[in-house]
Amino acid sequence: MTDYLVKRLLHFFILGWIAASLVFFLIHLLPGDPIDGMLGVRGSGRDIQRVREELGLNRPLVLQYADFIVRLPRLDLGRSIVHRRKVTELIAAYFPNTLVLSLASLLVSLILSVPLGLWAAIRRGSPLDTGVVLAASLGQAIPNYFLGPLLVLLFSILLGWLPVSGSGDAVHLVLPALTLGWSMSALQLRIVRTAVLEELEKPYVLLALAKGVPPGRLLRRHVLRNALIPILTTAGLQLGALLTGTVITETVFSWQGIGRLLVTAVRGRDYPLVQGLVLCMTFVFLIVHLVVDLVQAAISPRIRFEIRKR
Amino acid sequence: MRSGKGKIPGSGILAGILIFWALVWLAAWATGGLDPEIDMGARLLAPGPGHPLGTDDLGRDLLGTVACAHGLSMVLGLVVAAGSLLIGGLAGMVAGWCGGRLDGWIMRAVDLVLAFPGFILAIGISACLDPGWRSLVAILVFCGWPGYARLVRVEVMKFRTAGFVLAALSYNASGPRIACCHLLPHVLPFVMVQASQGVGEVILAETGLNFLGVGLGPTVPSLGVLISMGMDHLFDRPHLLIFPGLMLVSLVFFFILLAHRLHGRLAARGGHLLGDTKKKGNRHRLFPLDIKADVP
Repeated sequence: MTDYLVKRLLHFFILGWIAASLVFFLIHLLPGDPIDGMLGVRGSGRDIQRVREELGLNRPLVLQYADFIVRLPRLDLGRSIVHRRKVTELIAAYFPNTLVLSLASLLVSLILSVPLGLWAAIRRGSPLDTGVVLAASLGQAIPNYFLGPLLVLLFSILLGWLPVSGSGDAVHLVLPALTLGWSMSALQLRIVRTAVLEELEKPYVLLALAKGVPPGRLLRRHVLRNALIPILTTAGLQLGALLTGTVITETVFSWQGIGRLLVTAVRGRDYPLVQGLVLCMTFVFLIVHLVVDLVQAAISPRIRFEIRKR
Repeated sequence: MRSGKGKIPGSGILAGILIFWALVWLAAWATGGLDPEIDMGARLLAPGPGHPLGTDDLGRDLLGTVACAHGLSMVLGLVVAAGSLLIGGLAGMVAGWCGGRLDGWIMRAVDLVLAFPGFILAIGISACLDPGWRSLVAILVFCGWPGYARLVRVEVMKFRTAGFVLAALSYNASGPRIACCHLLPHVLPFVMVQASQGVGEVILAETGLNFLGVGLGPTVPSLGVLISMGMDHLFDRPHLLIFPGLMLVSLVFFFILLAHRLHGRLAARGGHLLGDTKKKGNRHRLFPLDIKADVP
């Protein structure tokens, strides 16, 4: 296990370093001067010089890069141009909202997908099964930025039950969590269904039936519990994929999270903030994958062996 | 269990979507042409004789704009999928066939790209590039090729020691010749299934980027931009959101369903898209991917 842990951690740090370099060089090597884009036609010669000095862009590239990498472990990502605050402060202020939204939508997706997937699996081949799987395909095809406004139209404008957008209390959380949870549950449902189908084939199910275990109890106590490992693994991995969803959902509902912050930073050409946020989200993604890998390795020795063989 | 029941006419749905598109295109062509001009004097007109669905925020005829955006999304999706397929397929073929150190390097590159959240990186990259279809295609191909490389590599490795490949090697056929004439026909069906699903995913990513305003720019008729504009008029003109959204959903659903159908054919015919079925029972099922032996 220690071997694997060390190897995986090393892997993580290399990936993190590559991500940081990529984000750094992206802004410097791509065609077009970032300052021109930032100030647009408004910038006079003196303005350009001032911003250039503020961002340290007048120094040699190598020095800038070294500086960037050295400041990274100290969590110093520079200052936002628009907000006039440290990027890390902004991230710390907005991140809790994103976390709340992500966890709420993960919960929604599990509540939707586990019972439906189980139901479809035990009635496999029936019209109900096909209907559920077809609905999941349709769910995959409806993106957040269409589903979100549709829900707003129905629940906020036509029925007047929920607020249109904003963030803060639980009422504001309902529609964004539903939007994001729905799109995740489409994939999750398939995984639940396949996992349960796989479990149903195993001999212990036959034994339990022969022993006279009631089917409901068999499903709850034995089948679902065994199918839970792949289900939870994908839920963990989806937490990483959720990042994509939060960017869009937060924009749709004006939810004050880092996803919306990223979009406003891109629109306002606030490059230090874009840089910091892309880096932060990439690290969240890498950390989630690291944790899922380590937990899996701890649960199943087979994965550890496979790594050692390589 | 009851394997004969629960059929859904998948081809019927596909044909229905195609007919729906054809109707929209014909109607747009008949009432004012595709790609209407921007006319700020005619903003947000209600549906009427000249404009069957009214006009959008920039004064364009909604029907024509949506039809144009729909075609643009489809073409972009197909182009990106083809580009990713070409690069990924070549990389996968080389990796699977040559093996050894070259394989190691190619797969390391694949893992590297897959280790990052593609959509977030795409937002970051397009924030720095000028908007336009070239950078959009480049970004999407960059994020898309590793999936194909993995798939092709696995399939090539499966066939590397097959009889027909050994026979070709025995009469001194060159590597590229074996790859094109012998391996490709076996690998292609599997790749087509993934590519069909891939077109749907690319369209979702592309419209997502456009929705956020980092794709083609605000004046290009694109479904993502149209949906984003429709969101501003939820109270007064909800159809500005619903119509482009419906076109987008039908577009993505079409390719996802197509992938399922192709996969079903592939499973039923033992690795070939054309020809006789091996197992008759699976043939017309919509989702035969995870059919298992019957549970007692």
